[in-house]
Amino acid sequence: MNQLLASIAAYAPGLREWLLLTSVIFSIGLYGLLTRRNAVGILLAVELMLNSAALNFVIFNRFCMPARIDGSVMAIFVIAVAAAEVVVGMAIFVALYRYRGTVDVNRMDTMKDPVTSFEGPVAFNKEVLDNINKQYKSHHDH
Amino acid sequence: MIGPAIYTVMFWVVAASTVLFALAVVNTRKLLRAAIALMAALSTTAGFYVMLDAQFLAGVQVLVYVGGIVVLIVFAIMLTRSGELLEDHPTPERRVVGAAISIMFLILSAAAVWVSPFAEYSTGKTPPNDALSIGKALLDPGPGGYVAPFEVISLLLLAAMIGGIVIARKTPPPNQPFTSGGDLPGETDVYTPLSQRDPKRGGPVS
Repeated sequence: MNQLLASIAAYAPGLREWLLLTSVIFSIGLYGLLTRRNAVGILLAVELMLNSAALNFVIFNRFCMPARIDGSVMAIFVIAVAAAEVVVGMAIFVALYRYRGTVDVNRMDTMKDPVTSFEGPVAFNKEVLDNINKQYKSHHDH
Repeated sequence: MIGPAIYTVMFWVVAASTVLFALAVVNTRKLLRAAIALMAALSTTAGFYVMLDAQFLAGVQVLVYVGGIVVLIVFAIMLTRSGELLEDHPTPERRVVGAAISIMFLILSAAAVWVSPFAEYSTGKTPPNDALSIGKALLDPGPGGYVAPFEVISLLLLAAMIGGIVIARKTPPPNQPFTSGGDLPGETDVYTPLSQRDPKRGGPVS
């Protein structure tokens, strides 16, 4: 029995195992960040990454500097920043949904140049530019 | 002898479940389920904090992350109706590129972790991780203290709170960004001049 327990305890996690675990969680978050199309899904993935980063601070504190608590303080800061980020992110998504009716990041292309995004590079076509300027003016000149 | 064995078994079980929950967060099609999986992953992270002798942080994790942030995310899902709209399955090339990039990152960071000589002091005394010493460190103005970052983070939280309110409310009438009138239906129309608006429907406050 004692031998069994000793053989189990031989697999006790060291610093490298802990860091590997947080790397795996961070990579999963990165995958979600790259594949999700819904903005809220991207926010979820970012939360996962922030969480693994905060865990890293505590791991280094525990293994490399066990007499101090700086890692814990940094983790608290990371948690506070994550809270602020979620508040602003949620506000932006709600405002975005109200105006656009969607939070699909593939359709958030308003800042793309309308001259070049539809028909290729026609930016030097004077007629097209004048037309766009006219539309812009009639939209904003009240 | 039984203590380290239990610790080891707990670590690997909780680590495996955390990885599974994290995979669920990025792969579930319904975002509400992804949020619940995120809640589970954050709770198991609180378990990790306990295993790393950071009990106060575990409490903070449960209070702020599980109790606050996940609830906010659920609000965001409901308010943008992302729960009803099914997240499209990512296209295969998107999936392949995402997996390739994240696996490359994982290999890189794992290799960096494996070859780096860390200065471990696992035989030292355990960190004084109670709320008292953390609070003292947060409010210590001397060297090694964190009073300046503490003030900065409180400013950041205040700015985030005000910013969240200002961004998420309906569009206020021009020149009156902080009046209480932003919720009237006429005020969402920013293009009608103030002089032509109906005061009862959110025109200029006389």
